[in-house]
Amino acid sequence: MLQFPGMTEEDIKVFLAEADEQLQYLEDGLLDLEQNSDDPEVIAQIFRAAHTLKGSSATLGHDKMARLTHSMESALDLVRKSQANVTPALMDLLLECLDMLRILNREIATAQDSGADVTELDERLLDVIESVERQASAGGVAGGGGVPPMGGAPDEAMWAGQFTGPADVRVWVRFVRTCPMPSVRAYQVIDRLSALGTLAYSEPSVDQIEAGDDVFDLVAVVEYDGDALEPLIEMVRNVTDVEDVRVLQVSQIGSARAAMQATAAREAAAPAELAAPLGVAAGGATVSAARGAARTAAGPPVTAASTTTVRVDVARLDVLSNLVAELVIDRTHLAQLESKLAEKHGGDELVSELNRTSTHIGRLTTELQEAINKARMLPIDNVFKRFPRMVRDLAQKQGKEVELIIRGEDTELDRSVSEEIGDPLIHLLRNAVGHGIEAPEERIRAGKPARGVVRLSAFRQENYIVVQVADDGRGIDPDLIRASAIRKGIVTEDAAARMSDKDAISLVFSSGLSTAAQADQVSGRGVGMDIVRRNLEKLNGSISVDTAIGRGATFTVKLPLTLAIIRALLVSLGQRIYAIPLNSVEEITRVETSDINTVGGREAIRPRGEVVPLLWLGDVFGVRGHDRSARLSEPGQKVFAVIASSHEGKVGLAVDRLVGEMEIVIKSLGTFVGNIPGVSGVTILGDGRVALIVDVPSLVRSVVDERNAVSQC
Amino acid sequence: MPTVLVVDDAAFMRMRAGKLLAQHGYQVLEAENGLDALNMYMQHKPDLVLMDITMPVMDGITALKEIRQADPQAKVVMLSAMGQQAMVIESIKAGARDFVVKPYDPGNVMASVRKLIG
Repeated sequence: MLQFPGMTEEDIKVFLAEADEQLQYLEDGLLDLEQNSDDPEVIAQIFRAAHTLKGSSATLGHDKMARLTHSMESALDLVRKSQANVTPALMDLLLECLDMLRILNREIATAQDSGADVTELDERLLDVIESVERQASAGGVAGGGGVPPMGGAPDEAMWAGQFTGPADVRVWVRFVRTCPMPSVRAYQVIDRLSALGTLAYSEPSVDQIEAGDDVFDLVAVVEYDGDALEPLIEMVRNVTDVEDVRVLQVSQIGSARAAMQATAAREAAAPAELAAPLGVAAGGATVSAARGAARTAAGPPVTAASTTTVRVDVARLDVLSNLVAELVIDRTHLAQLESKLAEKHGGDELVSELNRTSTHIGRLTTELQEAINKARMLPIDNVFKRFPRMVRDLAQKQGKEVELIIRGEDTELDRSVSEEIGDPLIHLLRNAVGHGIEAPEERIRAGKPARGVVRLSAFRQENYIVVQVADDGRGIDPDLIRASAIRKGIVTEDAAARMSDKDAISLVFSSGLSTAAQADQVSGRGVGMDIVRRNLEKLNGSISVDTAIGRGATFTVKLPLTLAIIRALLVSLGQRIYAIPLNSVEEITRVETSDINTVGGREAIRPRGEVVPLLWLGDVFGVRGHDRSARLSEPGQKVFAVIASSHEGKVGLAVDRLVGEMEIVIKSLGTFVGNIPGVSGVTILGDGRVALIVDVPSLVRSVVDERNAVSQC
Repeated sequence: MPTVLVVDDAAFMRMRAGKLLAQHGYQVLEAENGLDALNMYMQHKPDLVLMDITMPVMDGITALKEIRQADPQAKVVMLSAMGQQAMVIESIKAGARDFVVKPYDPGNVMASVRKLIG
């Protein structure tokens, strides 16, 4: 269990949010650096990120992160100053450090020590730094030698009280041993003395101080114009970390300067036999400050943040979304009531007033819904940003050269969608690098540039977000897919031969198919595409592929902008209402029972001459009185068939009646009810009734599976 | 109630410093880069500025110089990390009144603040 004394949960939350951001900057910057190793802006960005992480983690009290970021910063500083080159080895080292930082960050997030040790990485960084410094000193770049130790003030001291006017004054200052950056403190003293008079001399010299040499004792001679020493002492003592100050008058102004320089070395060597101190140790001030720090707040803090954004917990947004969703339902109900009333009491003044009001409420609800949806939007960059690194690593591991081009990263999508879209995209990118892009030699043989290109782009299309992963690799060969599918028993030889190229290629989305000669670590065995497709369909999305042999493949993923609300066609079986997601509805036809044929042992209809298997929704859901036999027992009965499709094909769903089209709010069935075949969720209608949402892809699949089973017999 | 402007690009550091100062009865303003700080300074004329050095948009030293140019009386304390000696010296030259090294000890910060604005 990791603990950070003095840190509240809120502190740690803020730290983590920011660390994530900085780690991302670091990653983006490092990848950028690999491409443009001399861009000072990129180097500055990386340096800043490491620097910020160092400061925050040290303050938080996570020593491992502070240590590693400190060394990273030092190494990056050398790059920044052009003293070190960006070599592939250094890049790898820095990226390894980044991975380690992520592990450490997780330690903080989970409050669990991961057991990760930064020593090895830290030492490698120090090696880099040392080797650069060795080279620098060999080349004579390094600064001068050390500073001779300063003992103390000479013994012919003079009391401040006896000071008699403008004179050369020698000031001896000792700093607290533990003080950070004593050289800067020394500089502060010099700075203040210079304000009171002219600095004649100092040991160490101002140059040495500025060079950053550690100074714990400082001797300075000032031509002091004041008429009392107290203000000077006070001013020096006021510098933080000053432990002791002693001052003495050397002689009249100007006379002692040359002599001082001559005696400097001797004084430096003299032991600290000190005259009566004029200054008071600064310890007293420190104590009072500490006491002050323990005092409780005098009043509420007033913080004026400089930004206009507010961080809101996602859970709160979800609550708002749900409330708005309920409003949407009521809006629909209100409109229904209103039209019923208008039918009954048309022309009534009250009815038309109700009409106006309900129209207004309807409009407001729509706007409210849009506003909430917008508040839930995130740029897809949040998802994309982890890909450059991933693609780089994949390509390197497989000895391929791949350039990832990202477009449309500012496209916004609902948070819930952005959580779901990442995994499918990882699969697609892995496939693009693993299977799509060829090895450099192979590409050159094919007359292509050695470096392959993977394009990841996002854009909006109506209420959908479309993400494409396109590679310029070898493309997908429909014949290879056919052969593989036959071998795996996914289709029969006959069926494969009849299949169009397009249909054959879409077999990549069926389970158990892989065309890579061997399963590899990177892209797996090709079970991925099947899962990708299923997961996308669960979200009412879709995936398709477009490919040409030798020219590459483009996978297109389409997802609704929000997962909570979809448009659906409502149909009924007697009193029961079912919702069919509108994006899967191709058309609606009325068929005579006599139009229903049996093809391959399964009922089918032929809208526009195409054979579409027919499923009776009443049979699928076991609704007695509305199933096939009940419907067919009424002679001359017409049946509505909703032609619905998924990528695998089409199915006609026979229903009693069409109710209408409306926006519905998807609610999951919950773990209690669990998965019901053919049902993807439920929704509550305006009048409070519950409607099941039909899972079209699974129904299509059941028909396809059945057909394949039959054809294999 | 004296006002202190805390400038740091790290929200975490701003929050730590802000809390500490608020606890001691100071009114706290925050800015996340030098440019913000400059604008905030002009607008609110805080009694003291705690200024980080390495920041995007405008670094702390530039901001310090700008602020001191606009108000030669401005009291600015630099927040520095280890290893930034040269930059701290540069800021002292540019008129910074003090500096605190991160990770800072609350006592040191308060001592520095009190010294300058009581």
